[in-house]
Amino acid sequence: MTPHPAAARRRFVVGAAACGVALSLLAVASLGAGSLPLGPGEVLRALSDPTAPEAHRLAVGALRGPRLAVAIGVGAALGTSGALLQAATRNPLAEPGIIGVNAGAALAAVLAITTGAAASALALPLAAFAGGLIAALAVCGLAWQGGTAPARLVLTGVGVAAVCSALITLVAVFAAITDVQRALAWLAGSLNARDWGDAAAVWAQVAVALPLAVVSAPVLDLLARGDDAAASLGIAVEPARLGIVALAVLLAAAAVAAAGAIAFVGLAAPHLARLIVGPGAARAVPLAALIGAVVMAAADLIGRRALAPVEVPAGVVAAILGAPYLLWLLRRTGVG
Amino acid sequence: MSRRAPGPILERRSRGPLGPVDKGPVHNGPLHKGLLHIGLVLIGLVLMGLAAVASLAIGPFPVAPDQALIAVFAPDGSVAHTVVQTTRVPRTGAAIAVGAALGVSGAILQTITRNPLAAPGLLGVNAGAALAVVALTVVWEGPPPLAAAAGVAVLGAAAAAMAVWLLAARTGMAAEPTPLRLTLAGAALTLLLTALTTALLLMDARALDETRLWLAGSVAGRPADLVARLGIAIAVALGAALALARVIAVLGLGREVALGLGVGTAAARAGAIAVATTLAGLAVALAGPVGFVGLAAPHMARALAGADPGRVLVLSAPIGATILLAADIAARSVAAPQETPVGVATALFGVPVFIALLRRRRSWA
Amino acid sequence: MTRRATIVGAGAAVLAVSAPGAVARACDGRAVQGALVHGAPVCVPRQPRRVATLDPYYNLQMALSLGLPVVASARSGGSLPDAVLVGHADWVAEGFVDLGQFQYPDLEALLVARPDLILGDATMHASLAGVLSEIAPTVLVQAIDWRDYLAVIAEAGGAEARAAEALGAYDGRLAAVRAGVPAGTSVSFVRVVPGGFQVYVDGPAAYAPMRILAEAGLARPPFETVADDTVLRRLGWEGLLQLEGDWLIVTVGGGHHASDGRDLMAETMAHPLWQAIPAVAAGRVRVVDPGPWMGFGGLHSALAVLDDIDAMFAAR
Repeated sequence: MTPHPAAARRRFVVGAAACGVALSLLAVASLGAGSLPLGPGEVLRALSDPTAPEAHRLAVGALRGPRLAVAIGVGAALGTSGALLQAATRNPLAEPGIIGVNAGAALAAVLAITTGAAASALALPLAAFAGGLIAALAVCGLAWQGGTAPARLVLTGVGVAAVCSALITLVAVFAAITDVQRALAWLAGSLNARDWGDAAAVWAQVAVALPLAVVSAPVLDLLARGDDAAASLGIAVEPARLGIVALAVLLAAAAVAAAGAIAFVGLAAPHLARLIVGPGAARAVPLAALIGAVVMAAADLIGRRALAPVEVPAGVVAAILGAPYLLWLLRRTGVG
Repeated sequence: MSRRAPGPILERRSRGPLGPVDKGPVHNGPLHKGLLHIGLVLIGLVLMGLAAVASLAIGPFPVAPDQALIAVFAPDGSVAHTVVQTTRVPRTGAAIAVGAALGVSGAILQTITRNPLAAPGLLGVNAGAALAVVALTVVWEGPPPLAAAAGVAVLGAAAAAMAVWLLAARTGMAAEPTPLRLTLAGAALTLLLTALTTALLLMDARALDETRLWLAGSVAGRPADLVARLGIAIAVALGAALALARVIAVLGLGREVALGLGVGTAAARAGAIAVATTLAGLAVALAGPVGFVGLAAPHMARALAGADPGRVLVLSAPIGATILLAADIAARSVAAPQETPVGVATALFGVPVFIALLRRRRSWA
Repeated sequence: MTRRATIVGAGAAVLAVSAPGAVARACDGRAVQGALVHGAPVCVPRQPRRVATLDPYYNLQMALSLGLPVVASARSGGSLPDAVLVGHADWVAEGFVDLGQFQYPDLEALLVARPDLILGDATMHASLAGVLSEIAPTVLVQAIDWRDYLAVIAEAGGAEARAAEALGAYDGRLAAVRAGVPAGTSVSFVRVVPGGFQVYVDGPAAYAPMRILAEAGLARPPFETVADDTVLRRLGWEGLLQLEGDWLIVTVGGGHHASDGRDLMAETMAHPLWQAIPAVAAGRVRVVDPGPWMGFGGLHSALAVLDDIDAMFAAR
């Protein structure tokens, strides 16, 4: 299960390099593919040469570039968030969507859309961020009982998500059909029409959180051994777990704010990372971020081109890709 | 990651897996217990009856309770009587059938899994039925007949429940999935099915329009013949559940004990699961997604009747029906004369029950 | 790139505030002004030759009815509802580009269509404004009243004269229809949907056909009149008994295909409680096509609504 440290380092380098290659290929494909197909040379020219055709520069610089950047940032955020949550709750099936972040963000976003509060471009991500945080806080608060048993945390998340979806249903019944459709489209996790500002916001949060996560890797590794073992090694278990969960929730909320509700990426990326480098958080967390970025970039490219001009939101693609993986995971592991 | 042994880790302290163990006074003989049981069932039926009369009388069009009863048995063709006969009788019948089906389905699942969180909604039946109906609506190129929608809803619900069960159980029907595994598998499959439903609805605005209220869960506006047909199907399935009550109770004692008592567990378990998922599927077909009744009703039954699985199963029917009747009355009154989906009311009532349950014991893994 | 453009745009907006007419002077076409235009003023070509519309409802139908050269439009994911092209059923433009769904139009397809004017709806497309305005001058309309909406589309497309003429004709028709409506007549409106009913009400945010009913001199009963932004009420059978208008106008389904919901309508009308609605008991029911009534798109729809009202009273 646990590779030798030198082997783990080697595997990390190979895994990271593979992700880098995959991301480069996906970037070339994403920037080139579309209603206005561009070859790699034209993409490069559109990026670097101000005399390139206006349509090329717009397609690459204003449409495809930002959404690729958002996809990578969101994928990295979800991968990191999932890795932290899975370590902190010692549950390989924990992921941001399941502990209520997506549901809370979705409820807030639907309220913002249907009340017209989301008229300004900034209001929707802000509402989603706040909703995700509030739901996660509610989950932690309700699950707290002199401590947060991992399983109770996850199960409480399912309950809070159910309340949120009941309230979304209520709103949907009374709201105008176009608002409901808009809200549904957003909920499905689309990366349509993102700009560089959205990309900068999510990248900034990943840039702060990922180093923090790597720094706290030793604590994660101790928590993974169980509460008693961690406590006997001098870890203040509850504060450490709450801090890590808080970091994970912030990342997940940032991802939801940028791209809507996206499930399974936060579940699958950390698991794949552990398969490659073993359970050590110092390597598993950054690799989970990279894998998350690859998965999201691929999901967005597929969603954009599969049924063009109708767009399948990246979140839907991610869920459909993630299902077989989850089936396999549940069948072969003894979690829970 | 620490690996845990598969199978349930049951606490064997002062509580049974499902709550306080019934430790009645020693002098209670079987006769005494039997009378108590019959009394409880009678109380449950009376409560359900009162809720049903309220459901017949309460609504935007005011009808006195006695007039409501007269309208059922001897209608005179007045508008008030027509209102009761053509709208409130079907919805009251639907609420009773759906509530009883969900309650008993939950009781069976909780008993045989020895898992207090097992409930049809958490097994993904709602998402499975929703996907099936939306897919049918997209393919049909128009509103599909309700009977066809009901049929695919049963299939979708049953398929989803079976998938969740098999995913969570690891080793097939004979194993007992832990609460955590079952809930997570249900939540994850719900996410997947919902993603597929979303994709379909995004591609077809018409389908969204036609399935929106249905997706929300309601017992209103169901045609009387559909209520009658599905009501009969539910009654048959409830009968099957009653007939299996003893087997289900034995299964609830655990695999070894059940085998020792001569209940071949794999087949018995498969039968019990089939009855439970059929009940849940029929309920979804009639009312759409109505969450948490199947979770809460057996727990309320257990609080009244103790841990005896047979009694819990029987009592869960009138209690589930009463919960749904009350929720439906609330759903039609809160913004009268506008209708709100009853599924919202049951979720707002049931989730606190769910969370209270979570807080009752320390380990759920 | 987008950031910079946004900052430049913001700067331009500040300039416009500090020096009225600055944009108009810098604009080599026409500046579309006014509170009904999102982010006004918007500089548009003097005579647009390639117009893209972002939704198949008001924007596409109004642009078509004004004769604007539409080269691209969101068409709800490839299957354009029949109702949307009320009055334009024979219209197919050469080299027309489908932009997909109106909630999130395919911006690359829009780029490929090379529009010189983009028309959209402020409530639906405001979040895309930054990207859209990099592709072409973009007018996002934020009018509630359909005539105000039409006026903005006409101004943006340089078709004011045509709009004025069409609205004049509409007003003439409206006056004629109104003259045939007996004074003090009230009307209820209901749309039958699977599992229930939707009553579209009259009020500040009323759906356009409801506004036309009022303009034609038809009052709505108190239950169907609101002071807030309610557009519709969802009712069950019992709530339907509250429809107490002298007349009942009824339509069915989603307005996507005229044939949709025929069975539903028949079932509904066979229900014993249907006869308990006062207008039904009096035989004053008008079944209308969901196309113009529920997929309202401007002039053609408005005239069709007037035809229905006219027919209700002409038959008497």
